[in-house]
Amino acid sequence: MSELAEEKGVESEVQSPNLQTIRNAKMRKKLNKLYRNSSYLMMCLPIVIKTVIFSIVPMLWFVMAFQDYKFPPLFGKQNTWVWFENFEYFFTSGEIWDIVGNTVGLNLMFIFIGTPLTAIMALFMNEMHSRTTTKVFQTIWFIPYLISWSVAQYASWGIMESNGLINTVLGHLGMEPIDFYAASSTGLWPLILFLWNMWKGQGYSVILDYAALQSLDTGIMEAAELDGATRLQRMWYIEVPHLRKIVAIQLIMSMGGIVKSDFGMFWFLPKFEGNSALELKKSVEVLDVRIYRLVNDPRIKTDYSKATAIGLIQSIVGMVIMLATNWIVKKLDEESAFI
Amino acid sequence: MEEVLKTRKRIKITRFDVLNCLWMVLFSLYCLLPLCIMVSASFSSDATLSEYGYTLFPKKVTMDAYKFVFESGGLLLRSYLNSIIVTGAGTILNLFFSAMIAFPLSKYDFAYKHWITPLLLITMLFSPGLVPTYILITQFLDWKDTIWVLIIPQIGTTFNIILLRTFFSDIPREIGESAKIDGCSVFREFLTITMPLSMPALATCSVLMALSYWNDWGTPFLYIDQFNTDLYTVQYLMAKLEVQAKSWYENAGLMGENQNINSVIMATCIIGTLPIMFVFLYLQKYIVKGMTVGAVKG
Repeated sequence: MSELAEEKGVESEVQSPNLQTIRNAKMRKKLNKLYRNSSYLMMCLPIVIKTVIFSIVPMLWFVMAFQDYKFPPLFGKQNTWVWFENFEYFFTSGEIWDIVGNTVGLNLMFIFIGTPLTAIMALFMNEMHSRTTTKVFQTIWFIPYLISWSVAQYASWGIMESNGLINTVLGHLGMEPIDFYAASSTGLWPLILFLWNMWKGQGYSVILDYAALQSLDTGIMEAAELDGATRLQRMWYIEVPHLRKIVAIQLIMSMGGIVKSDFGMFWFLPKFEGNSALELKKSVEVLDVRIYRLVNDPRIKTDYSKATAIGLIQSIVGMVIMLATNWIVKKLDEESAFI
Repeated sequence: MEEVLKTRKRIKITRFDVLNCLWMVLFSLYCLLPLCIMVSASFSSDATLSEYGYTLFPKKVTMDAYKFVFESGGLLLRSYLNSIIVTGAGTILNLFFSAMIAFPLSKYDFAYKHWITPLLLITMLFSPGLVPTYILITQFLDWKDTIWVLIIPQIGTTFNIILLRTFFSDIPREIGESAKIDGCSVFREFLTITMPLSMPALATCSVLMALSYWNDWGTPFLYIDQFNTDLYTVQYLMAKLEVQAKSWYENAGLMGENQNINSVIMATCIIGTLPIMFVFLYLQKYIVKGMTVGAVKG
């Protein structure tokens, strides 16, 4: 180690021996620190390498967004540089703005109806006396979370197809059947997607909020009860502040994902494959679906560059919104912020 | 004390309680409805389905769809095997490597903590997106249609690492220090002290990991070819079931006559989903624990 330090000293043309000694000492200190932590570093190595390969290296291919990408190699002559043309397409084409509108609009609906509803449901669930009953309900509510969209799509046929449950019931009531996949019912789809989204995730989120409520000190609740606080007062003044932190984190996370969507739901439910429901497809298409289709859909022109450009915008906007929400939450309440 | 307990048990049931229970029952029915329809359809024939439509309870119970799946759906067995291999190997590798990085991060004397934590947080904040990852895997690593693509990209998720780090920092530091004085190396401390002491944490984490491996249909959807049936996982089979069910009929030489495509699809879904669903329902307390602990500050 000292040899190495000496060599370094000779190389740098420092004349003053005093300064050289100091440098050597610093160097030695650094090497010493590295040596002391070497086993820790070795343990970190596999995941650090994996993270660099899968999260940092792919960013190299962001240059595709500035090219008219055809085939590898990335910097070959066949990929001409078009700079911001792909982004221009993004900002000027009306089609994309419809898709952005769908993505953001539906997400806002899911977040701003879903989050308060979850908290309310958890609060009322907490009012149950019997723990066994709550356990049974929890187990049932957990089921949809365990069913992936690739399976749930078939259940959605059973409910919404022309001979599905809803139309069977309507038939018994003597009413007109509804063709959910036809162009005329595109107006219904935000509601349908909301209901399916709720089916999938609501119970699970309620269970998480409920679990957070369980950590509340029962002494406080009993004291409030003795002091004559009504049920609503207890909920509002004790339980809601207790839930604040977990709700804030949920909000920050879901705001960060406001330009992203649950690809499975948007891909499988509206029957993108096979069916001729073009209008429907357009009315509920979201950014993630468009990116996927730009890469892997025979019906539209494959365009890696545009897909990368959309993905890049998506990532940047998501990060900015997440940090902004975090900043606002931090201003309002230091404790609840995420980072 | 018993007196108190008894009086607590005899809480009067008010109208509020009834209403409270009612909405919970209704929401439970809402959660069960799609599953109910799938079960009912799997026990019907397609003729019944088109005549009476989908119903909550089968009109005429037949086991034809199940019989057909067990006779011709050999792919389902193959997919189950693949899913079990991927989930098993993935969970073990993921748990080991995630714990291995979480361990130094939970140590107060690890000097480079402030370099590695941001690297992990970046992946949570900023994802490279679908296309760059797709190109990396298909052209750079050349992992299309291999089993690696199903296992490795999911290893070392930031969420799991933070979760394990939180659990590890609860272990009193004196234990590690005394082991060090006795001449125990860092890696040995990790293997023989930290890991056994945090068994409940590892159980929680491995359930979360197993769930995400089992339910992952997206990765095979992108990277496994539709005709490469050797690498089908259960979830991928479900995603491609419409095509596969038809080809089962073709292979069985029954094309065109007496087909029960829809009920066969439903039956396959039930066989593919229900067994593992019960396993995870049984383990749900670990999932809830992991998700609530993981939601603390990063």
